Amino acid sequence: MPHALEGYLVVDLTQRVAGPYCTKLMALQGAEVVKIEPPGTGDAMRAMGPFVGDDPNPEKSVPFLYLNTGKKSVTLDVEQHSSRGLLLELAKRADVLVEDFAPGCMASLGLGPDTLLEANPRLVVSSITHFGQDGPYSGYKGEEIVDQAVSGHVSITGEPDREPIKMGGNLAQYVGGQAAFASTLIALYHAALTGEGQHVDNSISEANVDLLDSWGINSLFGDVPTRLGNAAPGGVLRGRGGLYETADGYIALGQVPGGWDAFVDMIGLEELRDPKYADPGSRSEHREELEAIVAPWVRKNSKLDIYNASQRRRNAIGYVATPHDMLTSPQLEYREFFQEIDHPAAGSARYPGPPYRLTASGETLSRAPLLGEHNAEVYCDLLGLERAELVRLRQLGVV
Amino acid sequence: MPRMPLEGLRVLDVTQIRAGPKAARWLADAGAEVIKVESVTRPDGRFRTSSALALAGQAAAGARARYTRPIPESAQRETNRTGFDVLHRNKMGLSVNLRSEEGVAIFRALAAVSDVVLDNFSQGVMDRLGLGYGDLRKVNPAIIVLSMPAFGSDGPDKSYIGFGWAQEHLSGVTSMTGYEGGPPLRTGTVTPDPLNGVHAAGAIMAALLHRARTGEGQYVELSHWESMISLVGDWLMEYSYNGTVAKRIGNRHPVWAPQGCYPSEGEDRWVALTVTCDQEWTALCGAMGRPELADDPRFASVLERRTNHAALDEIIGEWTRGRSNVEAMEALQRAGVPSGAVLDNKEAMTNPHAEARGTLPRITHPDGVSHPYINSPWQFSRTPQGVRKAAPILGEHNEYLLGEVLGIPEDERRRLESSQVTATFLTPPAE
Repeated sequence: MPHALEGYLVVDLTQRVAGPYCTKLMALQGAEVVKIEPPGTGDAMRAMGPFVGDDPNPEKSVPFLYLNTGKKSVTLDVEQHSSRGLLLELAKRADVLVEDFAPGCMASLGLGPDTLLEANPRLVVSSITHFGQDGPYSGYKGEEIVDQAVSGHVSITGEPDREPIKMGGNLAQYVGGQAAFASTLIALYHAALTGEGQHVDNSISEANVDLLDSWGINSLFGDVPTRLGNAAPGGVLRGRGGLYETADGYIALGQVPGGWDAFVDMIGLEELRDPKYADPGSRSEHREELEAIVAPWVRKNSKLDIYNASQRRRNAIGYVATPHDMLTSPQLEYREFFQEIDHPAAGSARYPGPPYRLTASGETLSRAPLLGEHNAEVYCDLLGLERAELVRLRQLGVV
Repeated sequence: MPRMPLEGLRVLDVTQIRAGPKAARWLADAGAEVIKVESVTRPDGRFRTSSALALAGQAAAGARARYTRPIPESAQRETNRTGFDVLHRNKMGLSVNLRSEEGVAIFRALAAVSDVVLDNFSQGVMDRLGLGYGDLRKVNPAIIVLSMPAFGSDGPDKSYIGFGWAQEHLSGVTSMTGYEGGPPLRTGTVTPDPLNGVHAAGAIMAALLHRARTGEGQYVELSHWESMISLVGDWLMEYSYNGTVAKRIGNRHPVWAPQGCYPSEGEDRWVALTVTCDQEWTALCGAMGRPELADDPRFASVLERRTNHAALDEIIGEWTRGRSNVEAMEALQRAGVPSGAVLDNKEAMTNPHAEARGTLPRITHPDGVSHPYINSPWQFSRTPQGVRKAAPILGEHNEYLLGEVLGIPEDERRRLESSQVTATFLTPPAE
C-alpha cells in the first residue's frame, strides 16, 4: 500500500519552525517535499543551534535536522529575476506550495497566489504568517515570544507576583505548523475531488488563540484567567498539574479517577486515613497540613516509582519528563517510537517518530537533506534543465 | 453557494472532553457532517467550566438549552456550556446508549454510511463495545477509524490514564518552561489536548486523501504522548545528539538579545519584544528615543547585549513603563522591532486586528442564548468554511439520523426513546 501522500509534490518555501514542521508532516506521509533554500546559507534555521557536537556547521543544526526530515533540498535565490521561471515550472508540476514570506512578498516577486493558480489551477498555495494576510497587524514582525504574547498565552503563564513568561521552546511555531498541515490537506482534498486549487491563509497567532477554547470565550464574559504559577484550580494538593519535588525530579499528583483511598494506599501513611481528610471539601480546608504529610514522602521517592504506583491504582498522574526519561521509556521503546537516523554530516541519533500512525499506509522517516543536495535531481531530472545550464545558474548565484 | 471543502463526508465523533472533540470540530468547520455521539446517561458534560454564562446571567437558560430538562442538583454548579459549545459547533447531536445492544447496532448502522469514526476512549473500550476497527470494517470496509489512546494501544503502559494536565508534564512542555534557575512551570491552558486534536485532524485528512486515491480505509492511532513529543522534537534531540538539555531561561532567547517581557503602564501590564539582529537593535534604540545606545559599547553586538542583558532590561523597562503595552508594540513594530503586547485572553480575541480578521463570529442559539465563537485560524480563498451553527443539544438530530439516514420507522424510534436507547430529554423543563 502506498503512503498516504505518496505521489504528491510539495514545493516548500519555508524556513525556521512553523512552515518546516508543516512540510515535515507531509514528508512523513510520503509526499515528495522539495525544500527551496537560499544559496550559500540555506534555511535560517541552519544557523541556529544547538549544533551536533557544538560544531556550528549548517549541516549540524539540531532543530534543522529534526524539522526537515524526509525532504529534498534545492538552492534558489528567489529574489533574482531568473528564479521566477524555475519556480513557476516547479509550481506547475506541484500539488502544494507552502510559503512563509511576509504578506505580499510573493506577489512582489511575481509569484502571488493568483499567478501561481493561473499557472496551475489545481495547486494549493498555503501561506503561513504570524498574523495572516490582512488586518492591521499583518505587516507586523512575529517571533515565538511575540506570537505567544498576542495570543494570550504569556499572560497566563508564570508566577502571579513575577513577570509573565513564555511557554518554553518553539511551541507556538509548532502549533502554527501543525494547523497549516491540517488546513492544507483539507484544501488538497478539495482539489483532489474537484480539480480546484486555492490559496490558504494560515495565521500562527490565530492558531494559538484557538487553543484558548473556553478560557478564551469565558474571558469575554468577564472571567479572564490570570497567572497561577504551578498552583492549579481543581482538586487538592495543588490541584491538577501542581508540581512536587521528588528525589529525582518533579511530579504532579492526582486522585482521579482511582480516588483518594487509592492515593492513600499508595503513600501508605496511616495519618492520611484520618476522617478529617475523607472528603474533598475537608481536604481543601486542611490543605497545608496535608501537604506537610505528603510532600516529605514524595521527596523520598523517585518520580517514576510514584508514577507507576499511582497509575497502577488508576490515578492519573504525570511526572516532568526529561529527554533522558523519554529515550529510556519502556513504553516508547516497546512502541518503537524513536528511530535511529544516520546523517552524513551529523552522524547517527535517535529521532522522535511520527506524531500518529496510519496503520495501513504507514509513515516514512528519513534524514534531513544537505544544502542543495537535490539540485541536479530537481532542476535536471524533473525540470529538464541541461547540466551546463545548472552550472551557469550556480555561477550566477541563482542556485 | 460554493461547496465547502469537506462537504459530503460523514464523521462519527464519539469523543469526549477536549482533544477528540477538537479534532472532529476542524472537520465540521470545513463542511463535514459531524455527528457528536453522546451517551444518554453520561453526556459529555465533564468539560465545563464554572463561570462565563453565569456571569452573563445566562446560566440557567444555557444549561436548560443543553439538556432541555430539569438539571439534577449535582450538575447545577456546572451550568456553563461555552466549554462544550466551542468544541462542538457545526456538529449534529446523537444521543445513544452504547451499553445497550440496540445502541451498538445503531452505531454500526451509522458507521456503515459514514467515512470516519473518531474515538478517544481509554484503550480497549471501543473493542469491548464491539465497535473497534475490526468490527466497523466488517460493516464498512472503507471506514477510517482514529483512536486516541493516551499512551498507545500496546506496550507496558497501554492502560495508563493520561489527562491533558499530566501530558503537559510528560511531554516535556513544563520542563522547557520556567524562570531562569527556577522549577518547571505549567502553561496556562493545559495545552496538550487541543494540540493533539489538531494533529488528529491532520491525520484524518491524510487518511482521507489516501482513501480518495486507493479506496482503502484504515485504522489511525494517535498516542497523546507521542503526538506531544513531536512538538518538542528539537529540544529532545539536543540530548539525543549531544547528551545535553537546554536550561530553562524564562523569556530569554538562547541566542538573540535582548528578549523579554517588559512592564508597561497599568497594573500587571507587559509588552514582549525580541531583537534578532543588529539592525533591529538600532531600530529599538531609535524607537525608545535613545539613538546613542546603538553606539554604546556595552550593547555593541549580540554578545555584549547578552552579557549586559540586565542593564539593558532596566533601560528598556524605563521606556516601556511610560506607555501602554499596545502603544509600545505599535511604536516598536513601526520601527521594525518584533514586538507583541502581552494580551490577556479577552484582548487576544478583541483587539483591532482580531476584529478585522473576524475572529469572533457570534451565534444565537435556537433558545435565544447567544455568545461568540473563536473562528478558524485559517481561511480558504475559494471554499467557505468556519463557524456556522451552534453546538447541538443532547440528541438534537436523533430524528434526522435515525429516521432519514437510517430509515428507522416512527413507532420504532419512539420505542427506542422510551426504552432509553436514544433518550433525547426533549421534554420542556418544569418551571
